[in-house]
Amino acid sequence: MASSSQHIQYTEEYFQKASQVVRALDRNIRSRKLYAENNPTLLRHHQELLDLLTPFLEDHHELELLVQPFELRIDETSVYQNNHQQESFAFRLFSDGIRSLSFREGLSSEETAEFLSAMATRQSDKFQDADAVTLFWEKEFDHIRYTVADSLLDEPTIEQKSTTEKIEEVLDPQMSSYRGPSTEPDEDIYEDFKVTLTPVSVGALFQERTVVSQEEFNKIRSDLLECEKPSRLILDFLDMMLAVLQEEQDPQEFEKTVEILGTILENNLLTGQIQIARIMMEQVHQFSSRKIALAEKDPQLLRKAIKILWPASRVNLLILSVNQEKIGNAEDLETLVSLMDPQAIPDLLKQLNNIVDLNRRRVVCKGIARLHKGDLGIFMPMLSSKDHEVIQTALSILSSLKNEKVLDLISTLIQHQNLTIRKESIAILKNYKVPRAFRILTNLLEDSSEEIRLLSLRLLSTSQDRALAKSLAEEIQQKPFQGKSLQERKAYFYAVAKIVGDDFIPYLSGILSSKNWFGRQELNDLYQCATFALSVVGSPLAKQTLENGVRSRNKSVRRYSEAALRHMSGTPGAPSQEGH
Amino acid sequence: MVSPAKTFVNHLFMLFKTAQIHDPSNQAFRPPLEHLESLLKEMMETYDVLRLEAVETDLYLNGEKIRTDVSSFSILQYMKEEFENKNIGGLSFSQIPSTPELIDFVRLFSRNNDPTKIGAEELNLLLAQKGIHSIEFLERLEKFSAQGKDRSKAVIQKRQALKNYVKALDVIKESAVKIGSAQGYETRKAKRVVYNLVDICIDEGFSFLGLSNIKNYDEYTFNHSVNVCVIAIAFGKNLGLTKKQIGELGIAALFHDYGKLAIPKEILNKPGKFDESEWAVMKTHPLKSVKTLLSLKAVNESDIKKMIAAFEHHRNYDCSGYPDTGLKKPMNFYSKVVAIADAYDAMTTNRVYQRAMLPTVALKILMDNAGTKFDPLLVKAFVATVGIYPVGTLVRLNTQELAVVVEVNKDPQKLALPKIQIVANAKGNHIEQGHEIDLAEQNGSAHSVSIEDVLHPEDFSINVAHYLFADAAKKGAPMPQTSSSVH
Repeated sequence: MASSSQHIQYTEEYFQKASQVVRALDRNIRSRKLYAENNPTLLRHHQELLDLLTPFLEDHHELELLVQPFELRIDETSVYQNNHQQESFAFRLFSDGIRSLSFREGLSSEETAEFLSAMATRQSDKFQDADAVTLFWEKEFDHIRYTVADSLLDEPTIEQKSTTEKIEEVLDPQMSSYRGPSTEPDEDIYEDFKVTLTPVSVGALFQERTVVSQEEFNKIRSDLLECEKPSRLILDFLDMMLAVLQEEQDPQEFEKTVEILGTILENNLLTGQIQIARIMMEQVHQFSSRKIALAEKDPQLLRKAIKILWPASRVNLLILSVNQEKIGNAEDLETLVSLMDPQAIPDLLKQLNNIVDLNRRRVVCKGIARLHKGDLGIFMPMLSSKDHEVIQTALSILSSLKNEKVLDLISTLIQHQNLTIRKESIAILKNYKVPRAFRILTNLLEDSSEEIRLLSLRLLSTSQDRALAKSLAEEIQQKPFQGKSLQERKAYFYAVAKIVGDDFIPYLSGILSSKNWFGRQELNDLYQCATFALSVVGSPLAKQTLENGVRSRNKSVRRYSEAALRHMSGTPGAPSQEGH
Repeated sequence: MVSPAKTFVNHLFMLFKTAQIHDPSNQAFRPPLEHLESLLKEMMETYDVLRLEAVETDLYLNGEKIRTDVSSFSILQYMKEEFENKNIGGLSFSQIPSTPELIDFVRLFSRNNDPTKIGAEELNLLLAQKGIHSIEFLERLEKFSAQGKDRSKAVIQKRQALKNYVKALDVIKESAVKIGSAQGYETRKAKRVVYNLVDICIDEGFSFLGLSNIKNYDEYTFNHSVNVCVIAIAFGKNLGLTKKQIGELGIAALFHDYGKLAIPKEILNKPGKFDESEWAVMKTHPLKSVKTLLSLKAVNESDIKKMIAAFEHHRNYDCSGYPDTGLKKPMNFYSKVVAIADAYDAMTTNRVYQRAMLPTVALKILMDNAGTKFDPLLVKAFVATVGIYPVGTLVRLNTQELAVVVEVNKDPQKLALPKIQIVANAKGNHIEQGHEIDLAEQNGSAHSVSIEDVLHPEDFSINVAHYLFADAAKKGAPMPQTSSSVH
């Protein structure tokens, strides 16, 4: 498109507005070097720029800037000046060969952001493998134009010849003599490729094999799209990296190559690409199944590699990345943590409470549980913390472990002053079907806290210990039992019913047909407990007993039996179908 | 992403094609009609007028050439043929037409197919009778006066291409020197020249693939790297890759043999077959490439693609090649493209131990190894890109004259009929500025010229690159004072 600048009236007001826009551009480029992408300050600066730039372009259609070494001009008037090489974005543009820069009407917020991002990258790029020209080129701007004085092409060649001389050399008509052997390629090359050399009209030979159908073209395109996916790219890259590491003979070079992997891992953590980080670690762990040149000399090779990948700084980065808004799924995160360096666990534990989201914290705990590989001592400091959240976090991890030594660790916590911590500690016991756990739970039946007693009963009900059931049943028949709350009494009945099943039914049936046990209220409570227990047993015999109860002359028995049957059928409130 | 121009042409194509089967009042006509209406509304927010014109062999939208590639060729060809059938140069939309106007327009367009009886003027009269003023038929143009192909512009572009080619050679040579001192190469320079080459290729000012005919026996490795880059860029463009993807492909191709710079010269330049130990050393160059590239520590997505291509380009499509990672994992797309470009250039270049193969033979080898060494679909697309007689092929005509292929016919049905330039008469005398003949436009006359045989240029002391770029290399050729480009 032709520039429209020749139609612009250059007034004082025009130059003032243009200067404001350019200053805003400068401010934004600096902000991008300081702040992360979603930082409120950055967003505000960006909006301020758009508030100036968009109306300017609507009014004047274009902002064309001529680039000087430390200055930007419109026509002959300076609209930006900064003589500081490191700070001046005019200098950056000029040194990279850009001589004019033009923003055109229709420029969107996104395109503006891409431009600013390119400039900020250029300013801060430590590798210097790109400049403003290459960065702009890669962005493919629709509404930004620039001219480049490509002095690079006019530099002398490495042989100190001018470009013109070199061109003349490569196009020299005399450069046509083949100076090697005058033989045709060996016959066996053709044989290898199964080519027959007969004088056939090549037109007919190729004709049918050169028209690419739309379907074939679509397949090519989808192959390209597949290979462009980050997960595919990283797999290809890792395959390549592991091949390099496999062949490496030098331990130092091996470490350097692993460090490069670490850089990539870090980039993925910074951008919240947890899935890619997980894939990377899974591939690294496959070292153990690959034949690696150095492995015979150093059996600790894999461990060393993982240690290189997870210095403390990167562990901190993982925690920061977990707090990002979008990080993919829980499974990726848990697996990634489980593949880290076990020696990083203390750092991880220290940082756990920096994870804002409780669910993500639990996921990380699960990952740590998979990672710890038997060394429970690392959790001790957490368990003796004054911070209850820290203790709970440690318990969350321990609950995922299947290690009897955990019982040693939690034994004091079971008597902790904080009820929640007590309960969470006790809950861990459900994973342990061992006598010690059983003893702890039965002792807790005498605990002063009803909540603790109830929890213990619930956990004991899974034990299948008939001796316990007998003991509980005996307790039910003792007078002090009536002094317990209804909830606790039901819990006893529940536990016995769970353990002995149908064997409990005669006793329960006896309760339902009894008339003069204790007082009326106590009797009603017993009926309720008994019918509840029958619904827990849930067998056909239990159901029949309840159906008999529905036909009882006792109103309370009928009522509780009906309720229990509804509970069994899973339809609360539904009237009983039978027994009327 | 498909360009707006191509989308516009695609929608028109769908509309006209549907009109061949259904009357525009038919229900089946509704979807393509609505698509075009919606697109016109969107485009006319940006453009005051939409002018679609056919000039010579190309289509232009508002003066900008619409890029052709393997997928779009047939659609663009159809539109050009339709314009020819109506004896018009194109269409112009100055306002958004109403639905009834669009229907009337399509009816008019699809029912008038005799170029001897109709033209832009007649058709515009018919439109006016229908009260349609938002659409206009354009007169046929043989050549843009102020836009489009300009011979001096083509020469300037060739000059720019040559400068970038030479600079690319320089970049690779500098890399070889800096490997020795354990420093990295200048990626930035490489990107600049490759991106310039991509822009030149996309602009289609001349036959870009002609650059790959620049062969230098003394500097095979460097020359080869740049030629593979040129071929890969042209191939990528024809596959419809985005500009950025073509750029990445070009970079990957330029450095695909980077590791060879660390192979001892006595092995690299051995005038004979390798023995087992030499072959083992040679097969390490992909790994060496990766290690050297890794040492630069810049590892973004573009760098990764470059390394992967350097690593994989000898693995073969069926994973039977090297390095053998033990995994039967498909090759990366970029690696497959580079593999084909690499093999083609290697086969068609004189080597220290053997003569170059004829381009036609090299293509046949690619095709015969499609499915084993090379991706079969990509091979097919490659042949469609370079043509049966690739640019730079030396041919003998039925008149016994010698000619060089200067341009491939873009029509896949006419790949055997390229444009050629006479370089020697029947007696074998070289002709410096011989005339050009488009073999596809001879209309079967009694004196038509045809290709009889394909020849080795060095048997006739011909440097084909000289003929392809003579106009840009000669003194007095139009060129700017310094290199500059507008983006």
